[in-house]
Amino acid sequence: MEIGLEKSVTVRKSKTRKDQTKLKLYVFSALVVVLLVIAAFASQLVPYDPYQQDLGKALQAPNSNYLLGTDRYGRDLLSRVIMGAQATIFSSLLLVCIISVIGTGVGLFCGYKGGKIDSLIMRISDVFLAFPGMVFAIAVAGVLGGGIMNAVLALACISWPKFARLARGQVLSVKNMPYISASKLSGSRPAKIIFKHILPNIMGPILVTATLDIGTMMMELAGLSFLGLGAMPPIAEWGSMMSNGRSMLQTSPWVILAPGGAIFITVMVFNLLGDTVRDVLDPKFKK
Amino acid sequence: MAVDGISFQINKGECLGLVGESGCGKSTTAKMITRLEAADEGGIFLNGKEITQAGNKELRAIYRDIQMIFQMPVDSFNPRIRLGESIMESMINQGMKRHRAKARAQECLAVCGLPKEFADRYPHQVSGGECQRASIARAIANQPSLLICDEATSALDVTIQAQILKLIRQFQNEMGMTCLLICHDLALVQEVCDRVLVMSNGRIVEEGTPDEIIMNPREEYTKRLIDSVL
Ligand SMILES: Nc1ncnc2c1ncn2[C@@H]1O[C@H](COP(=O)(O)OP(=O)(O)O)[C@@H](O)[C@H]1O
Ligand SMILES: [Mg+2]
Repeated sequence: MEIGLEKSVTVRKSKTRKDQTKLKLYVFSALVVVLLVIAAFASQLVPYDPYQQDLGKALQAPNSNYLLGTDRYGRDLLSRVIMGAQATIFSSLLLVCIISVIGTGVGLFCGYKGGKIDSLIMRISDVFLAFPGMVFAIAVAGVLGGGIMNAVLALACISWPKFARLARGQVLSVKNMPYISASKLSGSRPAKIIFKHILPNIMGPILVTATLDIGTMMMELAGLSFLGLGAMPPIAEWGSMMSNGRSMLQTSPWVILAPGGAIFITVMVFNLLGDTVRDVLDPKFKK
Repeated sequence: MAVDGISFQINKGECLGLVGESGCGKSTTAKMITRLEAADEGGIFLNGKEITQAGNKELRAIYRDIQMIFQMPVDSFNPRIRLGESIMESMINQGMKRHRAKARAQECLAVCGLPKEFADRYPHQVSGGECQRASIARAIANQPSLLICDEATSALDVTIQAQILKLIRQFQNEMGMTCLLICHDLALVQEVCDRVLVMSNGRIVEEGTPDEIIMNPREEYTKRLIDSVL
């Protein structure tokens, strides 16, 4: 009797969990879409001109006119946060696209080819991985000069090896499957084997890592901007906005809390989406 | 070294059995014949032409003549591609038009006893036996002259085993195909093969007709192999 009860409870548990994963995927995807829409239509959405200075209204606390307050030049912080979404989110997405495409490409090539060229490229990626990432990025950004594109390039330089290693490991585990041999026996060329048979079967983990990396990369980009190596003033970008507000943390905390909160929420949403994507792609999760 | 100093010849239209315990190098031999694995030394000849050093392009031409059926039927199909698509791959690689390749794939499936709806299924949607039939369909699509079956029936249960073997034998008779049947089960070999090679530790230790070998095994190893089956 009791055993029967226990059984039925387990069944229901697993059912509700399944449904939740689907639901979570929809909710977080929707949130990400909302963020992307805000970023895309930022210039239409802002209540005030984010670059219009008015020293008479400097450092106002959040009020009904300025929902998030104003900074020390009297610029509306809500407008600047919305405008900053564009620079921050799109540069993070661009960065993740660059490193996942390049990294996966290198990993596919190395994993499939093997041999000396594989060892050589993997040793190079080891060198990149051995550097403390942020320090290297600061050095590269310092050499290239400021600007958000240079920050993206600097971070791309140090971040591709992670994807290369991931993709290479996945290729090695798929490469010896019988279906690859079968495809060779069907007379397929290497390019077809790689892109039709290997890549689709290793996309899952790469996709998950890429989604989870959006948040990380956003933080690192903001970090570079905070150090003055990313977006240049007056461009609205969350990292540099926080950097500008740091001297006023005690007197006017809203100046730093507004962009800080925006980073926090955005990174969290992207990370939650990444986790959910992983759950969905989990082989134990049946469609 | 997995395989060492083996030498044998398969005659046209013959069904040659290769038996031996697990790990004795049977699959390695098959992979070397199909050039999926490189041989350190020695030569492989197909219809009198050496293919040991064939380049990628020649190899693709050779694969019209050699086909292989694998031990794990489900693993031998890309899990993300429909069975029909996998069967069509070799024909499309040879420049056949899609609709003709599709028709041919369905035809091959039908010959192997599968309704044509199976072309639209994914590997995980069919049973092991059905999947093995599909992989036979893939192998015979180009009417190869040599078919290698690497333990094609080992992962299947006994009744399905018999059906699959019957199918292979049927094609061998109808199309005059040569067949290398790799197996660890002497009883199966006895039913189908014209000639048998016994392999142990990467070497061929005995050769003869199935009846000769089973009735009068010369080697101690073969005796043990027979005892373990019967
Ligand atoms: N890629 C490989 N590298 C090194 N040794 C291998 C490799 N593949 C198989 N072997 C070894 O070669 C031997 C023969 O393997 P295999 O040909 O698969 O045997 P069988 O098919 O007869 O069971 C085994 O001892 C195995 O451990
Ligand atoms: Mg084997």
